[in-house]
Amino acid sequence: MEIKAEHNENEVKVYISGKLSFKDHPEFNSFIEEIAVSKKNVLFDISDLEQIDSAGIGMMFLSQKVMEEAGASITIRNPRGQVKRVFEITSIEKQIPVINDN
Amino acid sequence: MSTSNTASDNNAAAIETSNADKTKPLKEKELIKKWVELGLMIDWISTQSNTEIESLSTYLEGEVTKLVESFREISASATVQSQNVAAIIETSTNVHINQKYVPLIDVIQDLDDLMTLMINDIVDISKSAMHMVYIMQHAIDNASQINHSLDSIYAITRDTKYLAVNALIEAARAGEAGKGFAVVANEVSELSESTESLANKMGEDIKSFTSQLNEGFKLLEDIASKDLTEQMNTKEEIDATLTALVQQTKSQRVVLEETAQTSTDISDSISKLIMAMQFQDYTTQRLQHLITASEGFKEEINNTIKTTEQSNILDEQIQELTEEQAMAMLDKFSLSNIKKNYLKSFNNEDTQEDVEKEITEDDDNIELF
Repeated sequence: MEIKAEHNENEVKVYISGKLSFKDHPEFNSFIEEIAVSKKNVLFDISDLEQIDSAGIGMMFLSQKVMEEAGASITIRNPRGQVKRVFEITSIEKQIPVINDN
Repeated sequence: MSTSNTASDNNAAAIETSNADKTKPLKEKELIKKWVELGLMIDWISTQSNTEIESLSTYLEGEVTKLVESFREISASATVQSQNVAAIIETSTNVHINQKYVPLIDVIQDLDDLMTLMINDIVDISKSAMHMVYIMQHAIDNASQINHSLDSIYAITRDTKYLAVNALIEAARAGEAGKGFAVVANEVSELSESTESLANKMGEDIKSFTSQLNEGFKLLEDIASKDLTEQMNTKEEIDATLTALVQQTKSQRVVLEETAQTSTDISDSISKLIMAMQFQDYTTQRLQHLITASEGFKEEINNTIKTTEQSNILDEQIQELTEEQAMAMLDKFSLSNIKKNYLKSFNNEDTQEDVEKEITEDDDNIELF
């Protein structure tokens, strides 16, 4: 997994690429806790995220919990391929807003 | 006198007439004889024809009754088939679960709901597992912090002990005046020993706790790192299978419904056919009318023959047809069985069976002339 943030005035864009799995949890969690301090809404752009496992889904939900506790929200943008299929099966959009550019 | 003469005249006239009849030209007598013979032939033919018609009527009635019965059985079978197909439709769209029939569509919906619940549970488990991983990670970090604190306690205890030793040395140098100070220094030394002992005990406990925490964390990692997306994907496969099953059941239902409708149509058509075959009653009545008319005709002919005979116009009484006359007439018949029946009738033999036999024989046996 590769993760980077782009801080704007009202939100933080977080770009995640590669594969999000269990072994990424320490880095992912530290990253989220750092961002939470800013109390800005987060937009996860996952256009380049190729794969996600069940632990990755759990991490996405926990990041939402952390951000909500900090008074902010998260939105997911452009899930593709296997990630999109897993999102559809889990109906993730019922709990986390998901937007698609096309 | 005149009356007697009149009667005598009348008798004489009658005798003259009789004599005149006897003396009629032969051609005229032959003509009357021919008429009488024609009458006898018509009577014979009418009698046999009536027998033929009655036999035919009886045979027709019997065969039509059998035919109607057969069609009724076919109609009943078609109705049963229609009911069976309806039962198949019922069972093919329902599933027998816990002694009751549940619509297949409901079962599929239930399965889909169960799959959704399962997926939700997997997501919840993944979320909880990751949450526990974070919490345990914090706990391990905290245990590590306690170890750092213990190291500080060890350092403080070591310094305290050094201080106590130095204090005892200084107290010894002070002599009598330092005796009280030496007591305090000893107490401080014992206190730092106790503190060190307690810190050692805490260190061991923390080490054991951290070891167990790491073991639990490893187990939790094993659980949380299990990728359950494969199980999630099974929902897609099951959904596709169930959708195909529903589609197949729908197609099957359409075919079965068409089959049931066809069976019902067959049954209805046969019922109409049975109704149409009631013509047999009408035919029997019409044939009976023919016989009645023929009997009236025969009676009139016989009366005419009797009147002719009583008139003594002819020199002889003609009561029967000759075989020669009968054969001459029968030569005009084309069907051998009919001809045979008439001959049997001429010889006063029973012809009933032959009528039925003649009707049931194959067409190939019909002689064409």
